[in-house]
Amino acid sequence: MAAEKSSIKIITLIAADGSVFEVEPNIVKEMKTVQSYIDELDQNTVSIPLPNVFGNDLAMIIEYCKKHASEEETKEAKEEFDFEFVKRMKSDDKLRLLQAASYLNMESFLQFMAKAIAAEIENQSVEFVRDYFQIESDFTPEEEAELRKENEWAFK
Amino acid sequence: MEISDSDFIGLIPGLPSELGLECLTRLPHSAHRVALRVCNQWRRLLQSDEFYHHRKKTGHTKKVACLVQAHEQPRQSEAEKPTGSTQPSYDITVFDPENMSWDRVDPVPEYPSGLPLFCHLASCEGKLVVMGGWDPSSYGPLTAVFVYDFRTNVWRRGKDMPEMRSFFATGSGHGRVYVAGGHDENKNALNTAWAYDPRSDEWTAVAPMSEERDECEGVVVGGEFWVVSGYGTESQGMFDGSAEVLDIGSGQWRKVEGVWEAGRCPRSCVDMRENGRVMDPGLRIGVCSVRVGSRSLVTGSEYEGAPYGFYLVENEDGQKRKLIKIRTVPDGFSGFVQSGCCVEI
Repeated sequence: MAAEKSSIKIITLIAADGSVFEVEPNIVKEMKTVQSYIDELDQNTVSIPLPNVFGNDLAMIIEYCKKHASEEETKEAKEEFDFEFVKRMKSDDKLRLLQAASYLNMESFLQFMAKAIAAEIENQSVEFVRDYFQIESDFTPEEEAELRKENEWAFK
Repeated sequence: MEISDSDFIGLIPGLPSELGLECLTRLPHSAHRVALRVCNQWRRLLQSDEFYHHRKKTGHTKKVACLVQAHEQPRQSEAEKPTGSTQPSYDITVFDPENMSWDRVDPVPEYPSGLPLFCHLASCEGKLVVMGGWDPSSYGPLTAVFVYDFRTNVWRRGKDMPEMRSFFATGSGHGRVYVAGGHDENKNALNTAWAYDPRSDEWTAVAPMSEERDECEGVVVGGEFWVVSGYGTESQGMFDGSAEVLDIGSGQWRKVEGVWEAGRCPRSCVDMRENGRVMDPGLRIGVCSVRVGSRSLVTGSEYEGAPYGFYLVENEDGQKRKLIKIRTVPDGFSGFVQSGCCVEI
């Protein structure tokens, strides 16, 4: 098995919008969904369709994987990269990337995105959180008033 | 208990429920206050025992120290202060050693201007339990119990302690809070012990200790509740060197001799290693030590008249314990610490 896998030189990933990415095998190691394809197919070159991931998102995920798979990068450089990576993302990107991470079955990237989304709503108002996730309040006006009061006590 | 998907469908619109849960699990406790107000589903999730256990299991809870701390008088009123000493009022401070952040819990509604004096703290599954003490105005002993739930940030009155008890030992394990020893309203030392379950709000009797132990100190180590030192009614103030140890699982007591320096008051300053050795925090005056995960928060002075300080101590085995002074204690949080306990929130 090990010998077969190492014979694969390039993996072609095809995103939902048809854009094509050619990557080395070590880049897709974390993508368990892709990995199971590779394990099933017994050939030297593989091309894998990913109908649930858009090209822009896949490009970002590959960029993340490249950085984290690199043995030359220091831990600090990777942390710095993570910080900037999240910073340049839009709110919607994060939710989409989380779903992509789930589809690709990428454990640590999924954790990373979930943490980024949690950070997004930290220190924000209730209104911001509802708006961000498009959640409609199902509290009655009386309950809303009660909850507001609870919060006023909390902040001295 | 597991969180079943059917209970929480679409915590976040457009995301499968397990992904929504992944995100909410990562919310730090400080963001729960806002999250509780988003919608009914989030509120139910955040308040559930299952969610707390899920966060704990996946390593997203954190340990903080809750302290009974004297509230400093505002500086500007210094000049107007009447002469003579006034009893300071006490509040609950929350110290997070990870972020080095300090915060204060809202006052108990029944005691808006300060906690009962010498009240005792224990914690259980993200809840803080405040027990007993003396009424701050009448100095009458209390059996009152107050429970602060860090999931809802709300105080509720718990069922009163079944016996009048002051200066007793507390500890917690297996979802229950334990009290033992102390003295009754006639200053008779006690050997009795009780367990409180904050979930069912019920007290149940525990087998008594072999000896009376007034002013004893409790500490929980690896499933055992250690009640250290104390003295009997007849040997007023002669602190004993032994401890009685409750196996929380079996409810059986055993006695261990020579764990404490006889004659020394153990109040708030017993810290123990897994091997049952009692540690000396290295400070002599006004000491309070609260274990928070792998560290302890220690407060006190090195000698009589020395400045009151806050220190962190790493508890790793095999290392010489070193006190590291916390240099940046914000205004309002440098008051005397009477006692404390660790809460996982």
